[in-house]
Amino acid sequence: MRNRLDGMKEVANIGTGYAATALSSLLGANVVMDVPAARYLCMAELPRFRFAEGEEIAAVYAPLGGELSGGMFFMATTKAAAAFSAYLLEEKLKLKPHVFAESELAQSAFQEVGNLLIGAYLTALSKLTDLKCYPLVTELSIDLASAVLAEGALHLIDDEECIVMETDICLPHSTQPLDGLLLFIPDKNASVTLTQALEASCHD
Amino acid sequence: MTKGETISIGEWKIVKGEGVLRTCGLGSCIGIVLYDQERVIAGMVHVMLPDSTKARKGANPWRYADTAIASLQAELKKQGARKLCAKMAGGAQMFKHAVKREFMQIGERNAAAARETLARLGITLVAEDIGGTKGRTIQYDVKTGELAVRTVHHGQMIL
Repeated sequence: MRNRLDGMKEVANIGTGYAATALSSLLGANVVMDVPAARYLCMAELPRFRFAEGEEIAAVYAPLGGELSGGMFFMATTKAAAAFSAYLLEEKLKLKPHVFAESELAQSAFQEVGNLLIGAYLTALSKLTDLKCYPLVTELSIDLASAVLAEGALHLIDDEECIVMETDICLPHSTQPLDGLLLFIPDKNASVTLTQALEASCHD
Repeated sequence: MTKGETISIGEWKIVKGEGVLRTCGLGSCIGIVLYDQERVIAGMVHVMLPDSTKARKGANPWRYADTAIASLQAELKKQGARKLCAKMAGGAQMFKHAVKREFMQIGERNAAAARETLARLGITLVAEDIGGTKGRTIQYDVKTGELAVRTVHHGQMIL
């Protein structure tokens, strides 16, 4: 069997491709997504992952439903989240980070971006592997990165480590830096299921 | 910054004499400090779920309120603590909808399990800051016995 991380990277690549296309058409701009990385993290590392301690972020979170369990996050610093919303609402200059924290419209625009990315990513996985897999529901939280990520660890309670697939997203030609992070965190069973389904689809 | 230890989910640390214990973010998780003020020793643990009896066999005891508090008490006694008191914070509900059924109200259930375990072990719960919808970070100073609880938009309170 191939290395599980390589398999997961392939999964992430396909999810990312769909997500990039969907976001580009929503924003009417060319979205750049880095080649996704897949890594093992022990549970205690997950809340400290990527963001500074105590950093406030905006996160769209979706627990997975269907044949895979785990969770997905779309996260951005509140500054970048404000910029995403402003871009989508075509209010490029008006939306400041503190406005984001109080503007339901801005928050719902950001959540829309997250919904779209997560939905497209999981649709790609479903198509590739023939596994049913969808977001159960999505929800926005504006809070400490570490506390938000720890909520994603709840399903992983029985695992000592997890595989995290991360994709950095940016919109290079906008006036403000638009950087977001897409995380796919299947639980142990789901990563085994995904790897097996991927192998099977390669042999068809 | 004062000498200190930062713990994450399912981790625990003890300090003696001086120093601080911190957690990184607590959402529905709970940070529990057990301390003996007279002997200037304290331990902190960061638990995720209430009840280890519902977990599969071989589960990590430091992730569950019932077993983590008992284990921390045992470690502190080994290191010379006698009369232990407790302070705790966390147990928020950060996501109202985006939780699977098994994790509904998990913050409240964590807090209830922690209170029950403390009572069973004869540890006095001196102060708590539980619930709400916002994540917290906490920091306990072993010398002063103060537990500082911070949230993003509501500043800091001292327990």
